[in-house]
Amino acid sequence: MSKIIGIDLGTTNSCAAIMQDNEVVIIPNAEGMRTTPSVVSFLKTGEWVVGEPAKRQEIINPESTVFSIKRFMGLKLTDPSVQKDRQLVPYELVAASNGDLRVRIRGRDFSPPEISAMILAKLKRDAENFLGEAVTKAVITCPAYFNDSQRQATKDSGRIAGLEVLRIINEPTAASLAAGFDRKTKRKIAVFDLGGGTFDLSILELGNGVFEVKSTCGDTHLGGDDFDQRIIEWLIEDFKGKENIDLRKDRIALQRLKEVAEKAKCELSEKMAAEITLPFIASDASGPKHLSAKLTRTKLEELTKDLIDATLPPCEQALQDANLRTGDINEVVMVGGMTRVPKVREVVRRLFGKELYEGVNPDESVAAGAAIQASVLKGNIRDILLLDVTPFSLGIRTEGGMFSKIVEKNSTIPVRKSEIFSTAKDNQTFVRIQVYQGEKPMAADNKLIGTFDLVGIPAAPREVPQIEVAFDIDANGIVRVSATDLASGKEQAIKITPNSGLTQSEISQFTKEQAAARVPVEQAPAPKAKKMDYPEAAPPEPAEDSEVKKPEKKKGLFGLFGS
Amino acid sequence: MDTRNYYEILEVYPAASNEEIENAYRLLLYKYHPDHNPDREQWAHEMTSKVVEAYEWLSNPEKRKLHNFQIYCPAKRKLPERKFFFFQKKKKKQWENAALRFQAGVALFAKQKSKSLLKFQEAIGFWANFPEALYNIGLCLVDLHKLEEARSYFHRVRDMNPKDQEIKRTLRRLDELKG
Repeated sequence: MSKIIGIDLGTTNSCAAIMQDNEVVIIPNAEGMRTTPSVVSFLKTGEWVVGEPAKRQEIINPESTVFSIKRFMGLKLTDPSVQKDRQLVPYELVAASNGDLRVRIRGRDFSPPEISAMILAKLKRDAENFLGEAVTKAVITCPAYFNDSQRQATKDSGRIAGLEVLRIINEPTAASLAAGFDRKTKRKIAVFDLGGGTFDLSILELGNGVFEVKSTCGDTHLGGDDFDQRIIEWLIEDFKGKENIDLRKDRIALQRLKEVAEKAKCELSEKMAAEITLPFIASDASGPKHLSAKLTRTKLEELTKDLIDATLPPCEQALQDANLRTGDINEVVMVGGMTRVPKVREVVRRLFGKELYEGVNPDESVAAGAAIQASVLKGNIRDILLLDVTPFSLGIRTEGGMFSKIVEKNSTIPVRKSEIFSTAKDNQTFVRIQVYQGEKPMAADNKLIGTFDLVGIPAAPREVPQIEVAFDIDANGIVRVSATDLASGKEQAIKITPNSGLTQSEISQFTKEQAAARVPVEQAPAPKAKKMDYPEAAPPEPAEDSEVKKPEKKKGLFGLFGS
Repeated sequence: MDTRNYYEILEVYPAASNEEIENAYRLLLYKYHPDHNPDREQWAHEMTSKVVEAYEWLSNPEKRKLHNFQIYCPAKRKLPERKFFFFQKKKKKQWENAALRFQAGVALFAKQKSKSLLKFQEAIGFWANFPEALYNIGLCLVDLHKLEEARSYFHRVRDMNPKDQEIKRTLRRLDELKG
């Protein structure tokens, strides 16, 4: 059986991991780093680079460098959160013919799943180089608050990158899975995730190896980038005061400032003070100017106090949603690079009144958890089970445009729920079942996700026929809705596949395009001699793959020993 | 089947503690969850949804009490026999009407309590002295959270046959449900 990797597809950084011999191994990328920046930069030649090299282009080539694409996954351009976020990104967002969001780079439109696929493709390639065999399957994580079209968009990106996505799992669940708690005892876990761009707090319950998300709350615009920005502003003001030069207009200077700000922030997690020096940052009539400053930890805490305090209200909200108090929490797991900051740890420790759980690496634990779940799906691990919940209520439209909920929000899946409805008019021979998702009382205010008709109902006075509408949600979150006329036994059903906005043909087209584009650009560096040669466009069947390759390897070995 | 017995689904005794129910739930999830049964997904899905539903009821104290009431006080399904003399044609006709409504009510009972309730009430309209129908109306009302109304119906049943122990038990269970 082919290997299944776990991928943490983050807003700012991504990471891949795999289970090998009952241990999680983080897969280093071609640059030798354990995490890869989720940045794609498009070059003038029509090619693109991903990761660290792309990040260096962020400020120099802002219009053609895409970061934080995760914020736009599975959303329409008209979505209020998109309208807010588009102020924050320098690249151009346009609407596709169906209202979906597209990123326009040098006159070409890319859908968010396509861009994410470029990041995934890099992770996949690096994993293949590392493992020395083709990787075609993955478990990918997403935030707990993602809705089904955002989840589907994540799945689509996997497909475009040539990965079969076996499961999408929630990031906090993955993190607590990786924490390796003793699974026998029952406990309540708070996962505090402060990453590069987003913050969320989730409450989970763990008992007998079953992980269940109870509630989640967060701020989608709070993270390490905001902290960096504060440092940059402080440096700019400082420099302006000394030299009277405004660095904000100089893109290259900004890029350099960003790099040092991030470095200084990381340094301050361990040291009390960091020296920042940037020689030749600017020049005026009197000659070149150098920036040098000393940032102390206290100063940083002062600059970012409001940011740290902003993490507290969502924590309280999440606890309230789960009907818990801070004292009920048994473990606090910290995820995301920003949770290394001593002040953040202190605030969280004070909030929950207990020591933080130390057994996880904040940058890698989500990917590690995904790898563990991959192993569960492969059948290698039997004592773990992830239980998911539906992120939204589901129901149908009934008389007067009302929304009758059938499956409540936060129901554990898999689930089957049914209710009986009837006709509104005499001799009505068909009913139209309109399936909605959302929390509002009127159907029109919610999102329509599917429609079908049940025909051939025997003529009868109104309210006599009995039509049972059943919702079935499987472990993958795929919803099946069926309507049965109990008198005649006629049944009609639809499978509602969440829609990311991309059609099947678009997905396969993008898959081909990316597979073709990958060859010239990315094969050139060939970082490791271990790289195997195989057609990337159509990965071979896993079974064949291992059969073909193993003998070759052995031969090589014997040859070596023989000579 | 009348009502699903969630205790049977979770394989616990009705007197099980919350903790026992929780442990049973998790153990059964292990056994049935589709992630652990990739070779028979449909079956796994059905079994898991049943377990999830059962746990949803039994883990909630209110719902568990209601469920206890439902399984200890099943609906009266059998139509009582009544004999009529040839000169009681009119009465016989009325009884037949009542019986028809009663059976319709029983058929609807498991699926749709509010409609079932209407049918039983119609039966009462045809035949006032019909303890089985009155009793079932009480059960429907309990399900619809109208406990006081239900109590008055159970009282009517008791008044018809003061020696019936079963109705006394039902009334006791109703008190437990309230308390």
